Amino acid sequence: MTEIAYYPGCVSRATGREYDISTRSVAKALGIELIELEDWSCCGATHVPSEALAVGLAARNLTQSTLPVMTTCSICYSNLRTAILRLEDNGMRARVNSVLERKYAGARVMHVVEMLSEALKGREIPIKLNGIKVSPYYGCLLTRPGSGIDSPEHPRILEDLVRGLGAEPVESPLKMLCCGGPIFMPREEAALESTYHIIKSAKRSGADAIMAVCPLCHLMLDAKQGAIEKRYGLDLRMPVLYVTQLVGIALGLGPEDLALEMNSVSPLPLLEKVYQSIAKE
Amino acid sequence: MDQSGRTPRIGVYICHCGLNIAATLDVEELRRFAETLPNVVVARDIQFTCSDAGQNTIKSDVAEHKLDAVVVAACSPRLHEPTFRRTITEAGLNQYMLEMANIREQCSWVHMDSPALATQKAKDLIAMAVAKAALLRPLETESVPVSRDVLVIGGGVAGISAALDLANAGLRVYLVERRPTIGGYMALLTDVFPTNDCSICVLAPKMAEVYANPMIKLMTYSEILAIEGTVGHFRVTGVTKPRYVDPSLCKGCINECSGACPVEVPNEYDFGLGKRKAIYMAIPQSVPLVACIDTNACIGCGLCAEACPADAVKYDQQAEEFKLDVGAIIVATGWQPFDASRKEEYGFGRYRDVVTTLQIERMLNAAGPTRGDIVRPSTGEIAKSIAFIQCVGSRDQTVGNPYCSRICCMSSLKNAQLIKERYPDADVAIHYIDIRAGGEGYEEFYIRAQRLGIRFIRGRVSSVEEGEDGLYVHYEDTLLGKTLMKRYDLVVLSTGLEANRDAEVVGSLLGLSRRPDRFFEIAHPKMRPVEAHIDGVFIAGCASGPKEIQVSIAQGSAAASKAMQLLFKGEIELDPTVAFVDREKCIGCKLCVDTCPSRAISVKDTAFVDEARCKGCGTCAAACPVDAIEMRLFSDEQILAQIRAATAVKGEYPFIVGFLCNWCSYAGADLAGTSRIQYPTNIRIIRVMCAGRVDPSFVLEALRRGADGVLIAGCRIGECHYVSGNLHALQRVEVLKGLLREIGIDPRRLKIAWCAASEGDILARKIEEFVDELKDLGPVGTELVAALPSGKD
Amino acid sequence: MDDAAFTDEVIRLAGDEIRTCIQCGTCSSSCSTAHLMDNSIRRLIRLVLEGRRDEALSSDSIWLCTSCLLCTVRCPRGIRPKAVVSALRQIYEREGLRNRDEAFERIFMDQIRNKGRISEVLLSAAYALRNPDATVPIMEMGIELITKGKVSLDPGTVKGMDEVRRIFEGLEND
Repeated sequence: MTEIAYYPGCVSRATGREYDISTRSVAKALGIELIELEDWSCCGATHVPSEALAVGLAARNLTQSTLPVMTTCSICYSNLRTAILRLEDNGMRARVNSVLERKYAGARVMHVVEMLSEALKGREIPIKLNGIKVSPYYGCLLTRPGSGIDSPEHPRILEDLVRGLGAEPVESPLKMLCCGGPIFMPREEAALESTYHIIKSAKRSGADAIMAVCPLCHLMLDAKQGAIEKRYGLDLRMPVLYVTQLVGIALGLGPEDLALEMNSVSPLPLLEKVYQSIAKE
Repeated sequence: MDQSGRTPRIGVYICHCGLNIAATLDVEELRRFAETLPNVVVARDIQFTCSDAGQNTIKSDVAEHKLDAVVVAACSPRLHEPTFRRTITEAGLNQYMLEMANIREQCSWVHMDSPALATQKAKDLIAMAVAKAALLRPLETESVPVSRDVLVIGGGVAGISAALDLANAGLRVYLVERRPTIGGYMALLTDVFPTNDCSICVLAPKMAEVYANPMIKLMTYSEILAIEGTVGHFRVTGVTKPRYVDPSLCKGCINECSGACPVEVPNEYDFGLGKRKAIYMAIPQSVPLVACIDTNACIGCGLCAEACPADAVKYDQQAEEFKLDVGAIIVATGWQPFDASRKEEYGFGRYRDVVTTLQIERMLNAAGPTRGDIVRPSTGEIAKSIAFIQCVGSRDQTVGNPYCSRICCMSSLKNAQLIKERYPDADVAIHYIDIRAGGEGYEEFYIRAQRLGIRFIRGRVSSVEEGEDGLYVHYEDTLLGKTLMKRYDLVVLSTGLEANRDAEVVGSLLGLSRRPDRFFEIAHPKMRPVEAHIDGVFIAGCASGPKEIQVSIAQGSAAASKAMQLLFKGEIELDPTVAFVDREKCIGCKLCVDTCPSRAISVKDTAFVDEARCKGCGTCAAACPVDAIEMRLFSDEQILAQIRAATAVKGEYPFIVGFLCNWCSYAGADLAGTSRIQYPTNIRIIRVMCAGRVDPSFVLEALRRGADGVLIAGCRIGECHYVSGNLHALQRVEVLKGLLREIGIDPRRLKIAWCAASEGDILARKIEEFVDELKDLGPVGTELVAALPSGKD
Repeated sequence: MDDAAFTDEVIRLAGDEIRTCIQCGTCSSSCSTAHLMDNSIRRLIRLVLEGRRDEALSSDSIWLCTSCLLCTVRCPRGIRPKAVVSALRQIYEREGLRNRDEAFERIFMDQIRNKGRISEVLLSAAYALRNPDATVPIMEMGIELITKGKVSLDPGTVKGMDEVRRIFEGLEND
């Protein structure tokens, strides 16, 4: 059994609960043991004004395990990666280590997307998602800063993953536009505008669902979809599934394992479509 | 004593230089002092030693006193060493039997307020020179015959220019080109700026001239495999690949054979826009005009052989190896285009209507794949709106190319003009960061483009997106301060120039160094534009960085002229002031091999110095762990003798021994003198060719003999005359400081400084600072005494 | 703080690549909220380099940055514009300037400082208290999440709060 350290991040306890639940279920189904970081703390998200402090907050989490650290949140992921890059500088490392309990001496971090892509390689998919069109939404920080899991300009890792599940990835030109999540509280209008365009673009490209890989993106696309519909006077009804939920469906996990009922826009019509297409075969 | 066991007889001449020296220094006292020095048989003071009268005095003394060596205490050796070498040669001595004491630039001019201390310093300088003079040896300058043939690698416009100039001057040239034709990228371009001449029309006659010139042996489809030897005699091995067509039979009609060939592949000479057959001619004007079979594409059907009316297709042709013996090599290996697909945000390779500069050049070319039409590759229709995006792969650290590719602004200005002339209604825009149009007629060319109605949009494009009806370009018009998006039919990426990866083999065979931008480095970034660091090797054209055609041509000619200067006499003089190896002592550790910036040392059991390559920096001698490498001039024993003479009296405190490199810091010290910048008298300067020459034993000897500090000064980092000597010095100093610490001596007593020849003031300030620091440290040995239990009272 | 000192401080906080800016506009043209900004991120860097402190600090743009890093990925000079924004936010707060955006940032950081983790409920509540006009959308959001069982007051406790405090004290003003 592969062991991976798990950094759930703050939202896993609240707005991102279905992400946390489905991640644990899928990991189990894939034979991966997730060992939650013992005493994890917030990475600071996008709100830390000092770079050194941001590195320090991230490093505190990185020093809690010698295993590769997996996170489901793209913001946490980007922060942990940035910290690892900055900690290559000896001056920064010394400064940060001077305040840490356990000294930082290198770490590896991965996004759940990376974990899934790796674990699904060559694996039999019990429930092929044939006939389903999925718009993979990358958002910003899965691939940024660069030199991460895929190109920050023209990534393909999510399309490959979707294809691997038997579904059809559709290309939305706005798949990497920022959802505006980090400023949605003080600047709701600006944030909703971005999210609106993203959903509309996915819809125009014929998607049955959007696949999200970050809890903040998901919050904006799913929980805020009602507010967007109201503001723009539209009926969008676009299910937004976490990557772990989609993988879970394909692995044959039940709706409660994947907390599908927690999604604001119900993914059940999508499930029906999947089962219909299986029945046809 | 000299080799014969006889005591050398030395004459010392102290120059008044009018009042330049005599106003500060007590010349009479210096003369009396010199007379007391060992081996000195005559000492005189002379008003102007460099005058005819002064020189004649020396000459007659050489004869009368049977002098073996001469010491002139006067100005800097950088000024009059050649003069006095001539003087003593005329008097019958070997020119290397001269030593100068620099008592003007480095003494009287910089210590004008302290005549007594300055006179004491001058005494030391003279004593040091006499000590060295006693150990001088005559050195013979050797001439060796050389091959007068020249190898030119690369048949682009720079190589063509070099080859023709050499051949027309009567030298034999071997022109080696990898591709089946010469002409390089220039042969593929449409019109060229700033005159909008047809490129191939001006180049083709030159290509034909190369072919016809009996002094040029043209070797296309050939590569260099090995290069051995040195300046005068490079032994080169290469191979001519089989093109499976007999050049002596092929008539160049091409339509017969390629018409019969059933295989089509993308044409690399159209950068993928058009197609060619497996048997092909690169361009209609190919030189030589001989077909070539691409074995990667050929299916071996035999149809071309049947079709050939001249029976020229030969499937059994073999690769042929060749060997050359040449005196000089000109590297004209050119460039390669930046791979535009690396800028993924621009979509090249994904969006068919995004093309590159070279593709648009081929489209505009009447002989190109679209016969001169500007079309959207996706539909084949004429493009009505065209955007040029500048700086693709240039000025961009995200792709590791921080440099400007220099020609892209002009080539886009030119292509935009050609399009606008052909299609006056087309909407043509250039998206730029800065328009760089520096060159004769270039700014006027820019104005012409503006007048034609080409739009100039200031702002780098951030991304290109493909929509249903065309390409959408995102940018900020930074002059309007507005972020915008605009639709175009066709987007042209103005791709930059990169160092040619295919030239890396030649570069490493020759030992050429590379700049951080990966282009070949020239010997001096300003003063030696076509010389490599290796003697007898020259670099022309884009091999040393992006250049326009006219500059490449000029560089080809310049390299040719340098090669002619070198080889015309048929022999070259070897500088005798080089390194040599004591084979008894050498342990074959190869440390010297890595140290030598001229790649002059090889090791077979023991080390061997190629004297034709060695430039005499002495870095190897300092690096050798067993002292097996010695210099013919600036030898260990000479320098040690100078150190001992300097520290014999120690007439002031703190007392500093300085080692200054000839090219920058010693010249800087001279400049401090000519600028009359005053600094403390505490330093005794020893001239070395390079900071890398300073052997750890020199430093230790100086400190052991009571110097309070040692200063090593070299060229600024990156400017070393021997490329990396100063870096070796720096490394050695780091190690030495550790050693000093271990033996209980404060490592701050050893200082290393960088100083350009123009930085006399900086050097003076460094000396001043060092004196102050040493005052704080106390006399040498203070720290040893303090460390002793009894020393602590 | 005079103008030159302002420039120097931003450079110290956000990197000296800023000095090499060529004002090409790649950052602003890559920015998803550029159309809402009074000064584009490109102009913001210009204001910093010219020491135009008041204009830079009063610019609404500092608060519209979503930290998406596209500008950072693309800048041909290796500048990190997000770091410039962060530096300006930091100076803004230190100079005692206040607005609703700054309030949100401060509440967020204070939660980490005091609890080690973020509770979205407490964060929203604290923010709504200070910005009554934000109450309605926050309430709407809350109802949406409560019905889905995704609201939790307790984000779990961090045991090593000493370490968290040390991190803040040691690195916050770096």
